Amino acid sequence: MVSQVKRYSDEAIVLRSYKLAEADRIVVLLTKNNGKVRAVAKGVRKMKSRFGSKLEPFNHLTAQIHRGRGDLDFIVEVESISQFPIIRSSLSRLDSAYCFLEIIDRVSLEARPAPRLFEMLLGALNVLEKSDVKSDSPILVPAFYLKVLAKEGFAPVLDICVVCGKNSQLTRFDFEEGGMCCLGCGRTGVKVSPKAHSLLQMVLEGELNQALSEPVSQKVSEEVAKLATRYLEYRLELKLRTN
Amino acid sequence: MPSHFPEPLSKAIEEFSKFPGIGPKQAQRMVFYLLGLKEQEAKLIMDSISSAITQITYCPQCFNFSSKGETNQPQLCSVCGDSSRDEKIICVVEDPRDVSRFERIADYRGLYHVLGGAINNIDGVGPDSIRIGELLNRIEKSPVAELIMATNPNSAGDYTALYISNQLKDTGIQITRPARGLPMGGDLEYADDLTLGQAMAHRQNIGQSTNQNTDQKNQEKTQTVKENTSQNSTDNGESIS
Repeated sequence: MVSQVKRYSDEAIVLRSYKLAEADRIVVLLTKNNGKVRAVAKGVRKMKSRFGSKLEPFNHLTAQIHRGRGDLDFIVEVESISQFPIIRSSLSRLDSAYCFLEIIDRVSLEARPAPRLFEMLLGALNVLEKSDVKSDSPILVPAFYLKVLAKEGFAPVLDICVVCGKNSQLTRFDFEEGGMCCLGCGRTGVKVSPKAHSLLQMVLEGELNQALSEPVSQKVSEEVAKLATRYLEYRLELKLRTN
Repeated sequence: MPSHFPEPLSKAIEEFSKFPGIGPKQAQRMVFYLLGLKEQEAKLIMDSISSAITQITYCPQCFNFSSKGETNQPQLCSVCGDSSRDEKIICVVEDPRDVSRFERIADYRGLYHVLGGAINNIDGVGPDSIRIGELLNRIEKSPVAELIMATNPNSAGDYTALYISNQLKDTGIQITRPARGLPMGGDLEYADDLTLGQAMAHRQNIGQSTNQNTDQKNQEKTQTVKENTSQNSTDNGESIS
């Protein structure tokens, strides 16, 4: 339950923003303790705005927000925590970051605190901001999709056949059933290579860091990306724009 | 809402209130102002609006605003039609209003290309939704040496600049971005980290004019880009300095 105090301060990540009137913006924030917040930032498109530049997508900040009477709140003050300069200097990192933002924007709800989603997004952006093997991993975005799905209660069954419960010869992924199927049960769905299957398991069974550090061929990474995206779109009934 | 005005008057008020930022009260004030004018003056306003709507189109080369010719075909805009302009430099902007902003400082003598927006994948504006294809075609056909990516200094503008620079990375064209620094009249206390960092990295000697510094700055920028490349090993944004 979100408290009804008139002004509150919260840590947030900017998900997106829209132009409003001559020089204002509506900024969509994922806050740590107040869920998704849509707030008007007055005059921020002017070059001399005190905090306009701090309200760009994926900026991590602390905001003072005045609760509005209707759907929209008002941003009063902003203190920047990180603007992720390394992400901003690279097209591929920006692409990944926008994928994170889109899915978080679409699963998060207004006035529903979601500290776990906030931590997941911040963690993913921090991984991208570092220049190491994990930030360059081609399965970073699909891994994030799978983690979001698991958080939303749609984690796919990967260790046993989702139909008969057998734990051997798991070769296909059934979107409708929500997991791997054995040779005998899997008539629909897509074929999954053993390497892709093992990566999916590592991502969802507590070995994310190892999965991101693994050398992955282009074929396998494309397989994992396609599967995670399709499953996410199927389960959450949406069509991703950034993928 | 029932109106006490005669039909033509209430219709005019209704139409004026469709302007962005104009409410019914302001619309009413504008219409009453028009009614108070002499017929000749009011006709001048009506004719200017009418000819702006029927005569203005986009320049076929840069997509800035231009007017239609006698055969109703779009003509080159005043910038593209000026033979004294340096056609080796193209300044890429998002909106025709940005062209007018650059023209007001009167320092820039190259040409422009108006994209008509910036890439914003989350909102469904992809590279094909703006005039990037037209820019690439134009570059193929003309001897361009430098492309100044003057898209807005925000995330969508930065992404668009990086995207275009990535598309042109093997062409040998110098791709630059206007410097990012502290605005005149602002307080340092409110500067964001990115702007402040870049303003410090590209600081200037006091007393040197901008033009005198251009070559030196370009060299510094190239150096900074090289350093960034070796430190970050990021993929294709480095060509923008």
